[in-house]
Amino acid sequence: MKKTFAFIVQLIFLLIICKLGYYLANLLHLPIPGNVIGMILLFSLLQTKIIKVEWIELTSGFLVKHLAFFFIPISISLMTMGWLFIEFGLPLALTLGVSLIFGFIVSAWTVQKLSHRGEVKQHDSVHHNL
Amino acid sequence: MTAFITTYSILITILAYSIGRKIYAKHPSPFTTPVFFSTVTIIIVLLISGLDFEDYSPGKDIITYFLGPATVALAVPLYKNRKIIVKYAMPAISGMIFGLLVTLIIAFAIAKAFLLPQFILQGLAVKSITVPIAVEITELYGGNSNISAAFVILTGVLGTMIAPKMMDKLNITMPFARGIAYGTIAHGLGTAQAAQESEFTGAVAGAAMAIAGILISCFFPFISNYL
Repeated sequence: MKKTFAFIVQLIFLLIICKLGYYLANLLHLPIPGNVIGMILLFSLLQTKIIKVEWIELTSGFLVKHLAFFFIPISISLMTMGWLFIEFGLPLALTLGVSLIFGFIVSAWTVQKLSHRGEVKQHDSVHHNL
Repeated sequence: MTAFITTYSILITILAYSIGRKIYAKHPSPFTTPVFFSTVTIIIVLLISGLDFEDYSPGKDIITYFLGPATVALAVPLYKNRKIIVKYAMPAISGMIFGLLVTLIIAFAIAKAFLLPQFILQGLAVKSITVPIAVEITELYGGNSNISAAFVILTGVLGTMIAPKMMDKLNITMPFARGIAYGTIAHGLGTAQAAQESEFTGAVAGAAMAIAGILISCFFPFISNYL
């Protein structure tokens, strides 16, 4: 019961930060999406210790852990895009697939080669509980 | 009736996702990744129920409303991992920039070779960023946000289907490197996949996705000049 209450309060807090991000982006005519401004805002609040990570950990942990869930309804919209795949199916599959494979390889390979191998793996001064 | 259909839509989404997660935990394979599995299942259930996407839309809007706070929540993994990210900022940022450049240049090159239309190129420009950010950017620049969302989702689903085994084969074993690649190239879905590998990989992916979103948002005005 107490946990549910905390969850809802934290969720409302995240929603307010998000709305504030949209408000700021609009007000300052920033070319950056409001939700990204919200993310930067929250990061700054954490960094300056104005709010503690424990205060929002429950809900934010849940949202990040189940991030994939929130994408499902959007992917259902693919059912209205049959025409796109009928018309451009093969070139689109090639475009998305090949660019993805090379993007992955280059990105991961660059990081692995540039970091000293093993060092990051054993790094223990980080909290990594999502 | 609408309220009933909306509740039904949300319930089948939650159910399909929960079942998908359980199946993936037991039998990990490209075709059991939760989003792919759920999407296919829900579309079939909708069709059997005689419903179309229009009917599903109100439920969709309610669920995707929470993508806003979910994006904001990414500040938490970013904050928790700030020390390691700052320490390995150079390799991480290099990997992200090279990865994004390579994936965009190859996508544009192939799309142009096939003479794909302009609206597809616009969608491709944001395919690696998480949906809420991609949709915002596309709308800021007057593109078709449905197309963008579709490409982002396809990229994410493809990424979770192809990337894990591919990186294993190529001996990319370092969790930090894998996390950066998942988050940079396959955004939220990649992050979800990374979190299945380890909490640390997931956290790094979440941070990479957040930073990639910020990078692309800042550089999009320049990218859009080349479309």
